[in-house]
Amino acid sequence: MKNLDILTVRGLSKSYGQLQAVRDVSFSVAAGEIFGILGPNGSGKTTTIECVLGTRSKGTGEVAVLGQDPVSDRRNVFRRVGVQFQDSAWQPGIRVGEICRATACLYDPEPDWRPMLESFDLAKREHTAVESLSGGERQKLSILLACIHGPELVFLDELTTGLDPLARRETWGFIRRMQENGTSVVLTSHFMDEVEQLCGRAMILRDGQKVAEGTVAELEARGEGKNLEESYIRLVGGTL
Amino acid sequence: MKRFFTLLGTELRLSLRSPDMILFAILMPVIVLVVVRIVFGAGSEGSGAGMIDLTFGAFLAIGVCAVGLMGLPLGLAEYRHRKVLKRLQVTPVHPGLLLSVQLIAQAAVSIVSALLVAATAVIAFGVRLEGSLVTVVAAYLLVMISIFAIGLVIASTARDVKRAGIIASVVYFPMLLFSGTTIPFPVFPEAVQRAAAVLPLRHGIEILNAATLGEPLGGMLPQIGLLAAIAVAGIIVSLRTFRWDME
Repeated sequence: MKNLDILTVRGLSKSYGQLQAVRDVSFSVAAGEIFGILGPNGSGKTTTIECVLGTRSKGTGEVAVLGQDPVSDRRNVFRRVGVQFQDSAWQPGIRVGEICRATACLYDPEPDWRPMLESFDLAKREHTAVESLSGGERQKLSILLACIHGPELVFLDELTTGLDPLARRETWGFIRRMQENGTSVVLTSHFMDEVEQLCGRAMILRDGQKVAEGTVAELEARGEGKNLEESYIRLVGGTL
Repeated sequence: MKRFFTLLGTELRLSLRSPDMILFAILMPVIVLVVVRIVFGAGSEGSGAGMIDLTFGAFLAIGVCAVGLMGLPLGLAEYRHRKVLKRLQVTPVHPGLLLSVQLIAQAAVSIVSALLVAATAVIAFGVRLEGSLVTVVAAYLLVMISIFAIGLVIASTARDVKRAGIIASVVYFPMLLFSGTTIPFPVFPEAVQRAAAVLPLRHGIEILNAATLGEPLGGMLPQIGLLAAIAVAGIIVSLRTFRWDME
């Protein structure tokens, strides 16, 4: 019987010089779960994700992604894991279809990306340079690329930032369909409606420390607010 | 293999779309060839071997240098700077595959440059190749791989795009000026000629010149060995020190 936790993080800490960006953070994500990481800007969400992925060296702590170390087992881990970074990067001049093809070819078997382009309403942009896309289209493209190989676990940093309300709903639908197909998701978000809609559980970071963790209902109760947003603001030390 | 060609095709299309490096690497050697031919003339004291023949290897080397010491390291440093490599870090791609795609894509530019130089020399100036074509091609590939390996080391070790630019320039310009590429080597005083022996490209040009003139390469084994060693060491070092990000 396999461990049901698809991601486990224990005692993760990371500092940049004097600044302690992440302090003794532990959490785990079960298979099929959508897990949210919330917190104000600078609270350590992105640093946590990057230390988990090994794209930043972690200070101390233990990380197991699908039971493996993402640094020493990098290639095996990322055959089954997808990542969308907050600031996505493109080769200058590359077109939508080209980056899809160049990304798809890295996986075995090579995934068919055209249906995904359709479902993200980007098919008509196949021959457009990525830098000519609108902000929302670029965001959708970076989600598509993270999920191009049907990963078992996907990390989405600021999933719907820059998307219009309609595109946000479409993206939520896409995430839910992935979950139905067995994909687990770790996402960061500033939008409480998004967390309510998508996340089974979430944790809240403040100054690099975990201040709360649980289901949406549990987080609401912890912060004693009328809704998740009020509770969130209380938990991160703000005033209503 | 399909993966390699997909990535290579993408890189080649991208480099055709940003033509500045191509102009720099492909047109400049031809221009230098024409200028040197006009300024220094065809021959020296009826020796039969004109200046243009003596420095033919040098013209081939200009493209190699521009591509290998500027295009290759700066391209990779820019990919790192723009976080393109970071996005690739979270895919299963092997760094060796990325480096070899870059190497071959840039080699294609370098080879086009060499063909254009050769065609100009033969068609416009009636230069005849004295040595065997196979030897010339082999010598060219050896010089190219060793210079590219130096470029890969710059790409892997420079912390950011600015430093890569500085290091690349510090290596590129002396190599270009004092190896006998743009300025014919015999023009330099003897002291400069002797000092130029520290530049790997100087030996590369000697090998290329000997190959194009059909001289035996047996006496050049130390130089050939040196370039081969630089190629192997450079590729190993660049793989070992490869960094996805500038943390």
